[in-house]
Order: sequence, then structure tokens, then C-alpha cells
Amino acid sequence: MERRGWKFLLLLPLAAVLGVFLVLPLLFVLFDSFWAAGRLSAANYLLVFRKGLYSEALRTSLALSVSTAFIGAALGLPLSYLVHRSRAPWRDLLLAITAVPLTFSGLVIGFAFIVLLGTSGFITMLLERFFGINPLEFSAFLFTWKGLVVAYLYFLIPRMILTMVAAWSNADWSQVEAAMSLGASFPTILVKVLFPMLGPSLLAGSSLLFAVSMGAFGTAFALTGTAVKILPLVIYNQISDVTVEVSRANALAIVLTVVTTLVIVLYERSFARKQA
Amino acid sequence: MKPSGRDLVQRALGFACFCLYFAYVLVPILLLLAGSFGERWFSTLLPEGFTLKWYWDLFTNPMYTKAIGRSLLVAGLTALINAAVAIPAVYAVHTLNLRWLRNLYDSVILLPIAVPPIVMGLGLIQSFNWPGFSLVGTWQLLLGAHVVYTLPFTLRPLLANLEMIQWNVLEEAGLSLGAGMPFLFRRVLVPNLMPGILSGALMTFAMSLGEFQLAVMLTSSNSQTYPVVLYQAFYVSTGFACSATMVLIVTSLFTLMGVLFLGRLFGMGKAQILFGGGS
Amino acid sequence: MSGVELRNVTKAFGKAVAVRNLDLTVGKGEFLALLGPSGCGKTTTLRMIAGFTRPDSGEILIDGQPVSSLSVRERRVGIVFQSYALFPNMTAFENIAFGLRVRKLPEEEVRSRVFRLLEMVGLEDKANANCRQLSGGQQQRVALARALAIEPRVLLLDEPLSALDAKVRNSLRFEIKKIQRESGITTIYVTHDQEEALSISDRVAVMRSGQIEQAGTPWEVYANPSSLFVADFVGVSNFLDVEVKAGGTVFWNDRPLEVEGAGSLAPGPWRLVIRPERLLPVPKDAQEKNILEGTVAGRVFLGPIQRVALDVGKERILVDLLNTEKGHLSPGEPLRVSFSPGDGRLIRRS
Ligand SMILES: Nc1ncnc2c1ncn2[C@@H]1O[C@H](COP(=O)(O)OP(=O)(O)O)[C@@H](O)[C@H]1O
Ligand SMILES: [Mg+2]
Repeated sequence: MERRGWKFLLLLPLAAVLGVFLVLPLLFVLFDSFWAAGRLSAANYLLVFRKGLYSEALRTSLALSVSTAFIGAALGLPLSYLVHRSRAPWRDLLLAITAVPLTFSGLVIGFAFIVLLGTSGFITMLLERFFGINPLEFSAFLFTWKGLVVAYLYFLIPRMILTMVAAWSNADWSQVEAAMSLGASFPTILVKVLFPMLGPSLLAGSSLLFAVSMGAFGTAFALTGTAVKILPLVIYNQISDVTVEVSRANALAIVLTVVTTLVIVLYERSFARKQA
Repeated sequence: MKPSGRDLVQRALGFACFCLYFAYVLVPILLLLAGSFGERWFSTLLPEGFTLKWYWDLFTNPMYTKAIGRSLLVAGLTALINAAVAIPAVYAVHTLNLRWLRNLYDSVILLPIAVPPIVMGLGLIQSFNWPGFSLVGTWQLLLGAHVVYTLPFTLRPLLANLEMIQWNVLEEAGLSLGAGMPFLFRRVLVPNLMPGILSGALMTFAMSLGEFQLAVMLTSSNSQTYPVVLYQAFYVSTGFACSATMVLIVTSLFTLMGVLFLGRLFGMGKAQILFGGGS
Repeated sequence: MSGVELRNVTKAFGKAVAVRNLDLTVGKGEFLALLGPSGCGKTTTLRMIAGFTRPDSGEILIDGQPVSSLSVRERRVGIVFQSYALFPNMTAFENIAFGLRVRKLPEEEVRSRVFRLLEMVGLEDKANANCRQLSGGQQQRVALARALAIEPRVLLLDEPLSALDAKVRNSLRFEIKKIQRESGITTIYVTHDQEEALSISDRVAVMRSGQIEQAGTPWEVYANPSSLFVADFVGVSNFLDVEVKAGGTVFWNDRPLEVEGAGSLAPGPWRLVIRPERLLPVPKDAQEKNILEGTVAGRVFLGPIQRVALDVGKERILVDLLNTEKGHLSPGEPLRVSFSPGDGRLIRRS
């Protein structure tokens, strides 16, 4: 007979692991972030927006994430179409290649870009040899947040491609054909048919890219140590610096988590809308 | 039919994009590969000479070999614990077939992105550090962190697998034929869930092996995992750093090949298996 | 003793009542089709008989024995699912042998029984085929053999043919019927396809909103629908809104009609149900009863018959004409049809 209650017990180990290693630490961070000078207060949060270093870190991280989301979408969209249109052996090859960066440690990608674009990197050397570009001047950008955009895209574009490949193959092409048969112009089809069809997925992909770049720091760490002031690295610096109260780091962490969570909710919503 | 001029241009354009994308993904890897076998690589376009010295140095240096061993241990245990935690949970989510539970599951899948590793690490450092009892700096705490961080990689393929074989109906068919649950699990569930279990375990293993962000926060000098010592290798010499990096690249590529092979063997959607998690 | 009996069974999911006070008796060895639109509770009924779902109230008996305390395994019912539900890691042989091996039958007996079943469903040569390599129709044959292998007390089939294409569906339909007749297993066959239900079963139970609306032989249900719903759902019907006057005269838009049994009905608004094939063409000068005269509005060619839309006054009715020597009718042509008083059925309008 139908007795299903016991199946809820099967969820317990997962709940326990998440509780102990995720929820508990997160609650700790949350409570401590409201602790300043021996009492409950919002002082740490005020500091996040007042203190130059913190608010600049937030701005830098947002700039990095917005850039990767936009450029990732702009590059991922045509590439995903390429994957979508390609035939059997090529398609599998493209998908396999796309998955390669996803399995890499962020550290590996950071070092790969040093070898590629660093002061004595491959491309830097090429540019020096053929165009006489100063290697030091050229490679300096790699160690700024703009350089991070370039490196992050290496593991972000594949995410965009995978999201959009699914969107292309779920797309209802007969709608486009119907619009064409009714004599609609290309711009009309783009605005009235293609965008409503692919827009939600594009939004989902972009929010995923945004959230991942907001939170990741492995690649940045490999490239610059903690020299680039993005939010995760500033938090990292706070805990290694004994003179700073850890509560401030906690407040920064909560701000970061709120941003990534909001964006991830957006991501999930866009998917839900697409399926509705 | 002869392709028209426009067709040819389109195809050429497509092929060019194809090649560029290939180069974009593969050139960095090939450079690292070349660097790892090159004797010298200083202010030249490509490394010069051929040597196995860097790999020899790497595998004879106790700091690195110990870290490799520790990483293999953590990654192996992570994959095992994840399987033990995820298989029952996914089974429950699939067979209970409740909308709110399914929504909750979808959120859990996204947790490691919603809560960045820096935040998780920060929380773990503080909540597992008490006078007289501290796990901070031990590999065991890192193990716990990795279990949570890599959960999506185990959960995703498992649920996709259950949905693909429509386990709910298979279970009912088995019950109606008189089989008991243990028999059904052993003879039907496990064999049919193998691709999901294996590809999940492989991905989880690889993710844990290469994970740096939590490791750098949670380990101390006597519990460092491989990515943490790899970071230090960047400051040794280019050749050594390249070879140390290649170790991770090779394991990643093997993992990927394994997952793709499993996907092909069992006809599962590849994108579905691979998608997820933060770098 | 009946094969399956449901007594006043109710099942609700939250607020939605899927099955409401349902009574149903299936004779031993009988082939019953459970027919109804999707969402009316057919699957839920089947799942309660199988034991996957527990009724909120009421009683279920199999071979006269109450089964509420029996688990799925103990009920010994064979089930055929719409999605086949074959075990993907097993061959056709292993799938069919599954229930026998669970029961720890000696391997020689398993072999001989499985091969007999394979032969019965015409798949002797596919014994070692992986079930993924079989076509949909072949998979469903394996699933049927697998369900029959355990010699179930009841065979339950939930829309077993809906996933197949039309041709396979038709041939498999008659094969299922033949196998059921030979084995004599009590069978409940769920479908939303009225043609399938009428052609395959000994008895049809038409279901609506969790209740049995009418049960009877295919002929009874088709010829004597007990409600407007059944008349509409099973086959095609004309519905004429009529007034029954005291004394049993029937008026349709002031046109007097003669309908059998109208005399015993309460006067008031009724609905007259006539199947299109019961309307027969009559010559111009004929003096039959119940003549309806109109102009052809259109026609559909359906192979053996042509279905004509006929405008009679302001209303449109359907007439099925056999494609005999009479050529096709064109729109605008006049046509006179009549029906015999015994062919109309009056059902109360609500
Ligand atoms: N597990 C369930 N949970 C909630 N509602 C259900 C469930 N199963 C069936 N229902 C509801 O019960 C009604 C009858 O469903 P079902 O028996 O599947 O109908 P049928 O098989 O005739 O299409 C439907 O309205 C359906 O939405
Ligand atoms: Mg149903």
C-alpha cells in the first residue's frame, strides 16, 4: 500500500550536510555581521557603503560581473547558434570542447592566461614581435578587473553556450516560418518572434554569468594575488589581516550573498517563465 | 544541387568561427603543455628544448606528492559521501513527486552559486573554531565544504537519470510483478542508475580535486591540498608551474572524456550532466 | 463471484475529488473497457485496484476477496503501462521472466513459460533483443507478456496503445482481445478512445468526473445512451431540443414528431438524441413518419459513408449516408430524411 512517509527520511542526510556545512556557517556570518563594538548594530553595513575600499570593491565586482554577463551573452549567443546548427560529429566535438573549461579549476585558468597574455606571454610576445607593442604596457591590463573579464570569459562563455543551445533546440521554428510566410520583415521577426522566444534563456544565461563572476575568486587570485580589489578578494584580505574586525568581512560577505542570491533567483525565474 | 554563393560565405563564416573557438579553448592548454616539457621559456615566443625535468621535480618533491595524496583522499571521500547523501535524496525527490519538494531541490542545486565559496569559507572558519575544539586547518573540514560545494554535480545527473528511465513507473511495474524493494533496487535501480552515479562521481571527484577557493581558506600548511601548493608553484619557475598545472588539466580532461563516454554509452544528454556549479 | 468489485470507492487529492462513490463490478473473465475523457479518474481507479493508491473510503474486492490490507505484490495484478515501463537493462526474455524469477521458479520452467509467452505475442525471434532496440509495438507486446507471465488474477491496462501509431494500434488492439479471450483473465482496459473501447470490450463503463455514468455492452451504450454525456462522448449524435406535451406528442420547433416511449414521460422540455446513421433518405412523395426536410449545407467524405450537414429550418443536423449507387450531394440540394419512432431517445434537459 501507499505509505510514503518513510521516503522523507531519505532526505535527512542531505539536509544534515547542508545544515552543518552551509546553513549554520551562513547564519553565523549573518549574526556576526550585525555585531560591532560589542553590541548589535548596523555599523558594519554602513561601513560597507561609506568606506572607500569596500564600496569600491562592490563597484569593481559589479562592473566585472556586468561586463562578463554582457560580453558573454554577445559571444555565447552566436557560438551557441553555431553549435545548434552543426551536424553530428562536429556538434559532439563542439559540445565536448565547450565542456572543457567547465571542468577546470579557476587556478588553472588564471595561470593559463598568464602564459597567454602575461608580461612574457605568448600573445604579448607575438604582438611585440610583429607590431612592436610594449609587453609591459600591454600585459598590465591583465592584472586589472578588465583583464579578469577576459580570463573569466574563458569559463563563462561555455555556460552561456550550454544554456542557449538548449534554448535553440527548444525554440519553435515554425513560429519563425509562419512569420516569414506572412511576410514579416527580419526586424519584425527579431522583435516579435525571436526575442520573446529566446529572451528568457538569454536573461537566464546572463544572470548565471553575473552570479558566477560575482562570487568566484580563484582565477583572480592566480592572476593577481589579492591585488585586484574585487569583493571576494577584499573579504579574503580581511580575514588574513588581524587588525580588522572579522564582523566587517561578514557584513561584506552578506552583501555579496544578497547580490548573488537575487541574481540566481532571477535566473531560476527566467527558466520558469520559459517553461510556462 | 550546387550551393549558392551566399551559402558558401555562410559556411565559410561558420567554419572560421568554429576554428577560432577551438583555438580559443585549446591554445592555452597547448601552451601549458609545451611549457611543461620545455627546458627554458624566458622572453621567447615558445619554450626551448625538451625535458622531463619539471615532472621529475614535481613527483619527487614531497610537498607536492603529499598534497596530491591528500587531494586524492579528499576528492575520493567527497565523491563517496556525495553519492551516499545524494542517491537517497534524489530517489525521494523523484518518487515523492511533490511540487514543493522539486522546487526546493532546484534551489539546492543553485546554492553553491548563490552562496559564493568565499562566504561559505568565511562562515566555516568562524563556526568550526572554538577554544578547545577547532577543525579549521584540517582536511576534514575541507571535506565537509567540498561535499556541499560539489553536491550539484552529483545531484544533477542522478535526477536526470531517474527521470530518463522514468523510475516511478518502473518501480510500480516491478512491485506489481511481485518484486520487493531490495530486489528492485539491486536488479533494476542500481544497474539503470549507473551512468548517473558514475558521471556524477567523476565530475565531483574532478571538481574537488581542482578546488582552490575553499582550500586556500580552510587548510593550513600541514593539510594543504594540491591546488594550494600549485598556487605556490606559480612562483617557482615557468616550466615547473606548467607541469604542475598540467596535472590538473590532465585529470580534468580524463574526467570529461569519462563523462562523455558514459553519456554516449547510455545515451544521456551531455549538457544536462555537465552543466552547473561555480568555478 | 465477480472478478473485481468496487464498492462506493472515493479518492480525493487534496480538494480535488478524483473518484467519487464509485461502484463497479467486473465479471470473472470479463473484458471491461473503462472509457472517459482525460482527467475523469480512470487512472486513479486502476491504481486503487492495483494497490498503488489507497482509497479514502469504500471497498475493493478481487475474486470476491477484500484487498485493502494486501500490498501491491500480494494482489497479483498484471499491469500494462502506457509508457511500456520495460526494464531498460534487460532483454525481452529477462523482462518477461522477471516476475517468475522473483517467485523463484525453477529455471527450466521459467524458460518454457517465457518462450510460450513470446510465441503468444509473436516475438519468438526477439527473445534476446535489448528492449531499447524494439519498436513501440514490440515493446508493448513484451510488456503484455510480462504482465501475463505471473498469471495475474486481474489484468489492468492503462491506455496501452496511446503512444503507438494508428496502424500498430489497430492490429495490437485485436491481438490483446484475442489473448484475453484465450487466457480468460479478468481485464480492465482504460482508454479515452471510444472506438477502441467499443471494439475491444465485452462491456464498457463510461466514466465522468469520478463516477460511472453508464455501464453496458458496447451495443447498449451506443444504442441506448442513458445521458446526454454518454450520447455525446460515445459516437456522434444529433441533439434536438423538443417539448413533450401531455399525451406523449413531441414537438420540435412546432413540428410534431413521433417517438417511442414519449407517452410515459413527464411533459416539459426534453432533448431528442438521434444517431446520424438512423436518419434515412426518403423519396419526395413518401408518407413516412418523422420526415425532416432541409437543404444540404455541406458534406464530408468518410470512405464508406458521407456525412451530410443538413439545414432543417434554422437548425443543422448531421445525416450519415451510405456510399451506395447514389452519387454525392452538393450544397444547396434539397434532402428529405426520416427516422423510425424507435430510433430516437429522449433525455431530460437540465
Ligand atoms: N497524484 C495526484 N495528485 C494530485 N492530483 C491527482 C493525482 N493523480 C490524479 N490527480 C487528479 O485526479 C483527477 C483524475 O486523474 P486521473 O485518474 O489520472 O484521470 P484519467 O486517467 O482519467 O485521465 C485529475 O483531475 C488529476 O489532476
Ligand atoms: Mg490516465
